[in-house]
Amino acid sequence: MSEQELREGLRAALVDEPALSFDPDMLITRARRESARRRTLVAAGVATTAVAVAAVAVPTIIGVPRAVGPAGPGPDDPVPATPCATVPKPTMPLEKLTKTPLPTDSKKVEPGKAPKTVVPPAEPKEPAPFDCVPLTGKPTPPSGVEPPKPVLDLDWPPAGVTPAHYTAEQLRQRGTEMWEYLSKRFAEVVPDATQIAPGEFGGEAAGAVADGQTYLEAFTGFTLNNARSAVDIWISAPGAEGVSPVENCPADVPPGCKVDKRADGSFLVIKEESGGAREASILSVTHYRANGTAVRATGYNYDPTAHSAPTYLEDIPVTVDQLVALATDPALSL
Amino acid sequence: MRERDDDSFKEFAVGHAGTLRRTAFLFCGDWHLAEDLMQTTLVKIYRSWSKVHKQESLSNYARTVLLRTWLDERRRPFRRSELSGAELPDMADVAADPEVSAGRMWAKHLVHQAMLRLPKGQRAVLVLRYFDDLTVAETARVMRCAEGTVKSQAARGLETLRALVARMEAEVTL
Repeated sequence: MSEQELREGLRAALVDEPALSFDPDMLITRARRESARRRTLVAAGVATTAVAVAAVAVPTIIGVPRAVGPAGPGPDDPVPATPCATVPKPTMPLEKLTKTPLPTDSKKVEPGKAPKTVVPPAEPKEPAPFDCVPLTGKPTPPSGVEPPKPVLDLDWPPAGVTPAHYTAEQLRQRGTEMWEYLSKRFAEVVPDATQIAPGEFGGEAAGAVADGQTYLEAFTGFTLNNARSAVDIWISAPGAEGVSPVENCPADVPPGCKVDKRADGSFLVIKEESGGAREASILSVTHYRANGTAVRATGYNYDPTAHSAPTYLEDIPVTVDQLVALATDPALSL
Repeated sequence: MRERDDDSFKEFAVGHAGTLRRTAFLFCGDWHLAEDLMQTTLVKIYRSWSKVHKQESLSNYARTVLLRTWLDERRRPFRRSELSGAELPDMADVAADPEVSAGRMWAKHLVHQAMLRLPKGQRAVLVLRYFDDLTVAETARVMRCAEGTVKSQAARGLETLRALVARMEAEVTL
């Protein structure tokens, strides 16, 4: 095929172009609406931050003593069913928050004088405990305690991670190693699956890698309950993934998305997306690792590798636990 | 934005909407998605119109935005299952001369279906070079890459395309 034939072919591909119903005024209206919404969101964020800072700073400055303890629902209140993220409990020592220093050993606090609930200072070597807070709103800070720092954003990418550079040969070799590993490992993680066929790790296409490529990706096809589907494994090089866990999990993602911080300092983002009229359902688990690598395992209720219109299954054939097992597998990394 | 800017943007949008949608279709192979990509591209351009409208090559700037928009769209999980059509549809254009019709069918389905099987970088280079008729230098500026990359991607894309078309032709004639 010559270059001229390609030119003709591309032009011929447009012969059934549908009529263009384009209204520039509507487009401008849409652009203005989106800009206004963005400005409103930014303004709301700034205002919320200002209120939170004022709520903490003003009583501290004027020296009003206050009870210390977590706000929000009581022990008997129902747990909200909203998607949630884990954020660390505040770790600021209480001595800094009240005028009267508290005893360092909480067991020595006299009944009636001690705060109702005492948030212990963080242990220096152990990770802080975490609370689950709704993602749909700002976490409610315990009254009298400085609101927790937004560590979910600040911790990604981890400090000190230098972006890695791999040659095509290195990527090819690593892809082959992971392909061999996945050929055995997938059957262990999804034991009921048959006809497991891991695809070649690559980039733009299966097996296609280039010098400096910052990720590897492969689909593993399988049959479960007589239906064909696949799991996508996507692995980014250290420092290459610029989307933070919270950015990956915005509050308005329906129907569910949550961020968990794990004890080793890594994050798990579990996100389920449905396609509405498309009937498509996609479940992804992304593991943001402490070394700056991100590994995502994605399950579909159809076969994303089929070159035909998808046949949708009622459910995604793999479970969250199975995707977590794949995403957190240390053997799958770059 | 001032009314004068709005007017100049409208003029630009009306003049480029069709071209952008056609390029988007060659990128993605779906007219509905192509329409979305074109509209999103124009919305993005409108937002920075006051800064960009005096650029020398607004058309190429629009192509860059379109390309980025398409690549961003492809990163979304929903778009991963691109429908490239494994089998060529058995259709006939009865209104045309059979010989011409056959040639057009070959071009329409075979070339574009083969294009949709190319990696996105190679596909973008081929569309920009052979549909939009950009030079190597212009293509490099639109794609924000080196001219050498454009040349190598174009050569590799053509080679892959030839192999794909040959294989698909063989499948059809079997």
